[in-house]
Amino acid sequence: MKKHKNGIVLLLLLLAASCFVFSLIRLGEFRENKKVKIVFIPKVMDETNDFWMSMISGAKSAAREYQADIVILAPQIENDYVTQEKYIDEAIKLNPDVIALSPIRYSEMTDSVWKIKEAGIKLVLLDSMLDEDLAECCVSTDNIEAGTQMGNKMLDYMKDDTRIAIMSFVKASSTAIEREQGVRTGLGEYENRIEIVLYSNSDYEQAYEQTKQLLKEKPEINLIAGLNLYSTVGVARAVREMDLKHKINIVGFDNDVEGIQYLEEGIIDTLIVQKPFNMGYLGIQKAVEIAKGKKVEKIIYSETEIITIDNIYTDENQKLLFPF
Amino acid sequence: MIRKIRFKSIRTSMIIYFSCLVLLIVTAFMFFSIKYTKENLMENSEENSRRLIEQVNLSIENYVDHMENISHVVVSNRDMREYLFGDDETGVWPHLKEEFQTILQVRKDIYNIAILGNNGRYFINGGNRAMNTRAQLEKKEWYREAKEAGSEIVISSSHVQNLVKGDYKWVVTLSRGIQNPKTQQVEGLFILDLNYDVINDLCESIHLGNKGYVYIVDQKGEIVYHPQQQLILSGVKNELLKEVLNQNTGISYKDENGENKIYTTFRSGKTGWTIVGVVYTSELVKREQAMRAMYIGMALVLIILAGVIAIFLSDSITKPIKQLQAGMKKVQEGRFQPVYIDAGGDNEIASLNRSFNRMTEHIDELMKRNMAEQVEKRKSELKALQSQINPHFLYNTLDSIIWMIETDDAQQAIKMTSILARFFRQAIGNSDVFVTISQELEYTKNYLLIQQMRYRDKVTFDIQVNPDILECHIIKLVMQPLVENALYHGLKYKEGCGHIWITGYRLENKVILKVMDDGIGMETETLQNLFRNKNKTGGKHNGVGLGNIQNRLKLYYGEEYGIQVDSEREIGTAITIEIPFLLPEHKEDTDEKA
Repeated sequence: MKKHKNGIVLLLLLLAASCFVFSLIRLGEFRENKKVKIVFIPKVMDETNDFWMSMISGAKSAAREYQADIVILAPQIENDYVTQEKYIDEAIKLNPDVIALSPIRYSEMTDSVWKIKEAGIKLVLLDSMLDEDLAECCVSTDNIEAGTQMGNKMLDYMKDDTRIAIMSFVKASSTAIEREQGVRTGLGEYENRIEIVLYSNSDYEQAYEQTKQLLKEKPEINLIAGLNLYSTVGVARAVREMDLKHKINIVGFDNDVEGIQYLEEGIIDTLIVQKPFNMGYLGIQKAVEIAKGKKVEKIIYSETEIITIDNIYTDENQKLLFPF
Repeated sequence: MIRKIRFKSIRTSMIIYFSCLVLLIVTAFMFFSIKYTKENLMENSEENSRRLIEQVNLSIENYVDHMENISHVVVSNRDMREYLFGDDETGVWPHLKEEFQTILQVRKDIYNIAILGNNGRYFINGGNRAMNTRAQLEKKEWYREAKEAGSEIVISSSHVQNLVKGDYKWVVTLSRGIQNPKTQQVEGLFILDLNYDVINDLCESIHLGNKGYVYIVDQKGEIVYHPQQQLILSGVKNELLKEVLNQNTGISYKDENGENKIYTTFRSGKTGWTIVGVVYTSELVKREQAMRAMYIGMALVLIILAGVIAIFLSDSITKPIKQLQAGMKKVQEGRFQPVYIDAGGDNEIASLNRSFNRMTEHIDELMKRNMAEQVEKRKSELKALQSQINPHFLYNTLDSIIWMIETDDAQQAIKMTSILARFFRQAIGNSDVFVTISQELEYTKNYLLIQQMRYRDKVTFDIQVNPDILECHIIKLVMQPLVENALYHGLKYKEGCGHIWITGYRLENKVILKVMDDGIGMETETLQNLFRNKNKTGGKHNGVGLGNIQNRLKLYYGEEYGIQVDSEREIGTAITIEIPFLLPEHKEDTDEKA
């Protein structure tokens, strides 16, 4: 009887040991294999919009590198914040670890975003902020800094008679406010040269019409700052049409092919270009880190680059301006 | 200090030693397997990377070969020279258009095909595309290099081609100077753009694990292709660029996230580019972990199996030992039985068992012989005792005879003397152990007659024995001592005349003989004394005690036979003898049995 007990005890010990080791290995593998799931909701997904396509490809690149599952839900046109809210709901249903969001509106979307928090999903903001502090991390262009960069650059075009117009975009949006503020800081003592601030509402046509109107009414304006792509291109179109490129300097934000052509033609003098690929990459990188429980900085700024005709074809800027 | 561990049983120690041995072997085996497999895994991975990037290189060189072929065709084309340098610019225009369009149609990987003359003439693709006048080609590196190279073929790094108005496409440009046949000077440039998508797709299609990737740098260490070029150029990520140029083997490198990567490089002779395959060690490690888990799992299963086998094996080995042990214990307790074990063959334990059994047999035999000798010894002792007649009885009887003669009672004297003579003839004359019951009764009767004559009116007796047992055997000197006992312990102290009855009959295979008296009876104590004092040498009576009788009966007939005494104070004593019913022809058997 006793000897049998010995044998059974030995067997049980061995079994227990094996179970222990196996579970350790299994657990390790499980933890390693558990993929982070992320839903990325940019403002728009539109093949012609280089900025957002670039950000999406940056996001995908990071997802691949960190082996995260990424789902992209994006409205087809920019400014469609109702659709974006719908996508937020959908994203919550997917129950990801993190939602990476580029909110279209600064304050109108807060309720929607609260739902993310309530569902216990971590939030990372890309490109744009919200009026409430809900995100674990924000990755964006330092708009004040970018504005300041622009303001500083504008000093290069400063002459005695310089009169400045600013073509902003959405009146209450955080980026517009910050960029304008930055420009004013960058201009320094020349801030008083700013004659007027206009709002294009992120629409080429409005920017174009308003510029034409402005130049007719105030022909003394000879330096125009476009605070986003729509404003910049709209302004350039108007200036080109009115054949005022030798008289008027344009500094602008962001780029597309049209903008590059205007830059090559000399209609636009300087573009402040963001790095959407980096933004997308960093956003997802941080999202993964957050999902894995690492501590990340609250705000991560992505740089901006000053592009003029002289540096448009450098290695770095080519890739920035002409993503494929 | 090393203390030797001792296990309680051979079985436990066998199980533990065996398990330890297996554990050791399996662990060692596992260790080497894992090490070998790990090395193998690394080698395979490098080999795999190398094969893949060589494949990339081959494809790229293939494209470049094609482009070179096209360039040969175009540069030697007379229409083209005529167009650039001749007078009949418009005349050859349709020919040129057709040729260029054919090339573009056949080769989908060619994005632009163009000739530029220093004189300002140009022809792009179908001839319908305008040149981007703002392009400032001389600011572009590929253009400067092409110009410097003269009529040599130059392959650029990847760049955005802004030659064509309104078109900004990533390409790799093959360029070559065109000689003016009249001046023999290079006065034009042939441009062939390879669609960068081709390289992009090619590199993206290569899978080096889930995370691994391929990138390409040119001779100057500038990126031709990298999936994260923007991150690298803006300094968010680091990559080995110039470092890979002069390496032809794998490089191990830790990036800013602490991830270990293995770089495998291949330098293309044709383009001068270096193609690099990057594999994450963590992915290899993951595979290695899976492999290790498998090995450990297998090892555990093996060890458990070995443990179970060890238990059964040690069981089968120690089982005969245990049986032998049990057998030995029995022998130790005195039961000399042979032990039968299933040792499973003719091994040491079986031979040990055989030796043990032989030994047991010997001991048993010796013991039996010893016992028989003891019995013989005792029998002869008893025999000697049997022949003893209490001399006091003889003196007393002779005294009685003398007294009779003195009183002139010659008749009585003669009678007594003759009885005594008979008595002694029986006692001394017969040396046999066994006598018939009639002989024994005769002997007893003579004894009683003598005693009756000595103690007149003191004792009467009565013998009533069934005749069918008279011829039956009985060992000598059984009845007489009992009667003597009855006289001296029962009747001697009784006032008046006492009586002795002797009865006998057959009960199945037994013979029952009884000696009863109506004497004073005996206390239990006295009874016990009578049994014990077999060697008591009393002066008055025969030394043969009840114990002696009892012993003899049991010795000769077996344990189930013997005497039984019932006695009651003031009433009398009855002694019952039980012996087997044996007739003279069985005498031999009885002897043997004894």
